[in-house]
Amino acid sequence: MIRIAVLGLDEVGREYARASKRDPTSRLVGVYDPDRARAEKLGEELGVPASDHCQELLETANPEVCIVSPLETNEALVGDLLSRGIHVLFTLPMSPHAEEMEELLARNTTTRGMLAADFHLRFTPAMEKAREWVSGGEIGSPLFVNMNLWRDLPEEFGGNPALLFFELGLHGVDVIRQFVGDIERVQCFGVRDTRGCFTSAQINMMCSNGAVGHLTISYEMVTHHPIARCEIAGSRARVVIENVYEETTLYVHERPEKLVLTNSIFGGIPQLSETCYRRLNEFLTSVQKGDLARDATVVDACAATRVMKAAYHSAERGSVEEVEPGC
Amino acid sequence: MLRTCVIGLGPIGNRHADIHQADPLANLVGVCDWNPERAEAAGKRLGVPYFTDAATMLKTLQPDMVSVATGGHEYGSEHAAATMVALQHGCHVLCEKPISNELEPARKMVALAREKRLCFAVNLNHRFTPACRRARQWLAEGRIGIPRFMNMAMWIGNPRESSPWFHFKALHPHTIDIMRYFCGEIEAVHAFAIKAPGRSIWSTAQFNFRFKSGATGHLTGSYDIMRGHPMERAEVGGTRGRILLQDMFKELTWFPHHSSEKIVITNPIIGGMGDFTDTFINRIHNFFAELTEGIPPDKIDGQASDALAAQSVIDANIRSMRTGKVEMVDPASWTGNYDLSYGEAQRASD
Ligand SMILES: NC(=O)c1ccc[n+]([C@@H]2O[C@H](COP(=O)([O-])OP(=O)(O)OC[C@H]3O[C@@H](n4cnc5c(N)ncnc54)[C@H](O)[C@@H]3O)[C@@H](O)[C@H]2O)c1
Repeated sequence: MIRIAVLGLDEVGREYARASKRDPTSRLVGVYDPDRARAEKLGEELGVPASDHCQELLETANPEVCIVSPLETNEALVGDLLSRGIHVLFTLPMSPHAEEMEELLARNTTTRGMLAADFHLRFTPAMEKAREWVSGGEIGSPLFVNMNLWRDLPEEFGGNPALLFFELGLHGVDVIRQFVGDIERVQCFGVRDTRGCFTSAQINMMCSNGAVGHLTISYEMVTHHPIARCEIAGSRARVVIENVYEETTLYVHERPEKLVLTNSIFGGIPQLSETCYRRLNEFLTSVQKGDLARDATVVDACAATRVMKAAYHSAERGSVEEVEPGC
Repeated sequence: MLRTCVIGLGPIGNRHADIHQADPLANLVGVCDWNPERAEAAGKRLGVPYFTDAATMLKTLQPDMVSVATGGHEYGSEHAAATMVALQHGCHVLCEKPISNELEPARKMVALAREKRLCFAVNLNHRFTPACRRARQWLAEGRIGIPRFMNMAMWIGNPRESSPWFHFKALHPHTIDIMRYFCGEIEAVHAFAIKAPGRSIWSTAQFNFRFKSGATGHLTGSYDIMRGHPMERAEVGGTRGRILLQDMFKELTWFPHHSSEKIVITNPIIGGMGDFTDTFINRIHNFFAELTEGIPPDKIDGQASDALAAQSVIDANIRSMRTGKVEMVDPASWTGNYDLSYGEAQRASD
């Protein structure tokens, strides 16, 4: 049984705590949040120790794996955990600074602890099928990719002008990068609220594989209607993924019929939160196998962060921005 | 009954002529094409006098209205000459898109119509559908609140390699017209485009827009995807909901923020839109009805000035491709014809 602690109990942190509780190969040994009431509420719900003192919890719970959700002390904390050989799965936004992410990544290769990024939207049969179609050449040579991702204003919004980019945006770019690889250049038009925080953005992308891409992100929608759509078109066919996992469709240009994979009510994905469970599972498998190379999500997180950094600058400056090359 | 003519008798001009003949408000009195075989074939097929010179036809038949379905370079270089001659003869004109492949002739066409106080419309037919009308009505009622973003996509397979900007200039009059119809004037643009493998023109593109209202827009366009599957999609997300229009008339959905119930209007198989040709029929009939009712030139729907505004947006996108930067749209091209208040009255009563 792998001992798991969840540090930082925002919406995604709470989902991971519930997922850890459910997972048969692991044991949730504690939850931490600087807000004591929030920590205790979840501790009670899941019947696990809860604390508003991080180090204290780490000492008493003695976890092998930590799920770290956005906390002010993020970089220092993650670095510390890794150096103690604790494996870390971090949720978004990690840090708007790609350099800091890269530093963590560098540290990652010198410590025993393994570091991975959340990106739970990837872990669905719908995405798998789409990846299979795209990488298998079903779509021909890639032409364009479009991704939409939106929700309501998150509870942690707190007037962070760039949160839209480093939370929703990172998830969106990660999905796009799975189909087209690296992004070279971006241009963004954004909408801000009265505090100057971005609430919606349209991001144009030039991809290094020769396709053109686009991402729409918004905090001005609701979650009781579809929240995501991704479409990848090539010279032979187009693939559409509706609402993360609900439906994947292959439209072959020259064929009148389409091929549709629909999420099943038996054994399919029941709720979006299930994607966190699947993601956790995948991470724990890598941990158990001791295979660090198996999970390259941190590299992807760094790349996605650089794309969003460029998009944010573009929105601020009215410019077209080159994405900084990775290490 | 309007006396009507058609200039330009390719596949599209023939389609216009058929629609004129079938419309109860019009009487097709003649057709014309420079190409004598095309003129003769169409004249005989339709049972109307045919000409190879537009001025001669117009002088002889004195029509009230002319459809200009010429083509040329970038599918639009021939429109100006035929339109100018029709306007000179005092005819109202419905011209095919693009209004012209270049801005200067387009400006002259619009100016001449204004000077002659004639109705001058362009065949931006894609939005002449009940679903698109309803979508705009929903926007005007404030059902999605204030628009924040719009996404639009349209593609067809067009293998012609005529000019680098063929796809930009000939396809996107349609999409930009719909985007302006829903969200108003476009202020700034940026384009990334590619030449699909084996092609020499910018055949697939992503266009990013900022509307004058502050909303953001995005358009995907391609000449690389064969017809058959869905080909057009328009959605607007706002402070109170989202609307989605699929394939011009097939399905319109309203996703209100306040409820998990969405409202869907699906094209009925009895009494609904049949196929794409119906967008032409509706659009052309709309112009006939406006002429019959005597609607003043600056009040008609789908005016040439709006087609010129769309062409100016395309021009800004071409500039963006050349400079690699965000480019501004010429504000002199704005018409304000599509401005909406987005449920001002409703919000005030909340
Ligand atoms: N609205 C739509 O959805 C839609 C769809 C397809 C094409 N179009 C437009 O329709 C137009 C025509 O398309 P097409 O495929 O039929 O083109 P086409 O080139 O086959 O036909 C144009 C004809 O006009 C004739 N012509 C040109 N100038 C003339 C003049 N001054 N006097 C007499 N004849 C003249 C030419 O000889 C030619 O036969 C194009 O501008 C195109 O962009 C619109």
